[in-house]
Amino acid sequence: MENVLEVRNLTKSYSDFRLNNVSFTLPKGCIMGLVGENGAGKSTTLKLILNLIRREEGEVKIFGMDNLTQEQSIKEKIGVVFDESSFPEHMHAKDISLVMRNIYKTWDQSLYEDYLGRFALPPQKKLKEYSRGMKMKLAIAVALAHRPQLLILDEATSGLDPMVRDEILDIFLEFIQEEDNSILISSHIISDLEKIADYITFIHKGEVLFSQPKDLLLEEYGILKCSHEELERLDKNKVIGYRKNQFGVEALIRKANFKDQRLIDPASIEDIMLYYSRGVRK
Amino acid sequence: MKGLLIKDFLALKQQGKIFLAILAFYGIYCISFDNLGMLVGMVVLICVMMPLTTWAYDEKSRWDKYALSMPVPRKTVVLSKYAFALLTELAGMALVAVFGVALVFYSKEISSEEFFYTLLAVGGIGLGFLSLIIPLLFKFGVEKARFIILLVAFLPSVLLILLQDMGLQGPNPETLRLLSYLSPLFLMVMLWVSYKISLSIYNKKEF
Repeated sequence: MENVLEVRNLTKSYSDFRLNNVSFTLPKGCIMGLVGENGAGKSTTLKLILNLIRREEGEVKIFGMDNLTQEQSIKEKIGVVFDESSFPEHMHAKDISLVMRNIYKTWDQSLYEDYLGRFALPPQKKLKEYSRGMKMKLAIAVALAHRPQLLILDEATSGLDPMVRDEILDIFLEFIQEEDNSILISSHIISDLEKIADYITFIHKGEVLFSQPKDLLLEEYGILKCSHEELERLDKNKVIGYRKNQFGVEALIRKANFKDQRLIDPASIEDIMLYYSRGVRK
Repeated sequence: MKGLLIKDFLALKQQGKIFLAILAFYGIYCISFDNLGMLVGMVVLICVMMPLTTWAYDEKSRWDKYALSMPVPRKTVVLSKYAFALLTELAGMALVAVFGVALVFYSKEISSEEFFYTLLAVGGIGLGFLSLIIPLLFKFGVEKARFIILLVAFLPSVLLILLQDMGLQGPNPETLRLLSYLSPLFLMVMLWVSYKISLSIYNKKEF
């Protein structure tokens, strides 16, 4: 399968944080969710991909092109949405199309107007009178209107109510129907990603803990329920994280390591993430 | 580039109305008292304020981060800021020209020569000032640059007064005239150096 995005060994240090050797690959036609706590390095990774900040090491290829040497031709073909509206507040949706038409060669005005209609966004209303959900939908309409092949979304659904989020997720699913299109979306709302993502990349303290197809993840991990005594007898190296309560212990494990155990519940992506990041208390 | 310029002008819609109102006021003032000076002062001030305002909007909406994620090279962002400043400056000069011509032909209070020099001075002062503050804006952002700009604006006059107090003679009119002939060249060099500095600042910036 062809890859839309290849990230290799990305490294970037700040005084209090280091993104360390981040690597993952997004196959064409797929949605990848970038998950992790606030400050885990999701945004830093996206900024490095977009060349908004300088990397110390590593390599990024988008559509098979190097993200530094062929930056402009790559950016013609990607749509980006950040977690906040990026337009001056006195502008309105109609103004924005005037700007974008002169930036993207492939800007499709009628498609943009379609989206405005569909999202019920008044074209002549100032952005400062838009609600947060409306601003986000506008940003998505703008990102889609030049017909990109890759959408990069940084926390595009956070701070929105469930209805709007659901509406937005539907648009992403619709976008992905086109077989050349792909999405990289970072979010800490795991349930959203669970709904739409094909791949999950989990970043924890600046490092990639895993980057796998979602279905494999759900298959691979399980929640083992046992008593406190049983936990003591388990091979601790095989327990990824656990949580104790008065009735017993719930531990995140790889099912393959515990074939003889019966009481294994399915683990959600959220479980996997929580146990990984919180539960490493061996 | 065109897109970025359009954005800057559209972002100023709100402020633009206020600017226009101020200019209209001083325009009327200028015609009724045959005094071009006040209008000229206002035009220079507004020409400097406009880029500053666009910067404030850009920072507030984190526009740069967004612009650079589109097919817009960093160089274009920097160039567009200079182009915007030049355009507002030209518009300012055109405005002064309209009122100046009116004064020259109808009230005959100022000579066409005086008017012509005033016009060039507006352009010159504005551009010189902009070439000083644009790199500052790129480096420090509006918040901090504001204070430095105040210094940049007042320092020369304070220095001049101090020098005079110390008994230093100003250059004689001949030297001044020679300097004024050289000033377009000087301005162009200044703008070019300013652009180069801004570009190197912006290339190093992280968003």
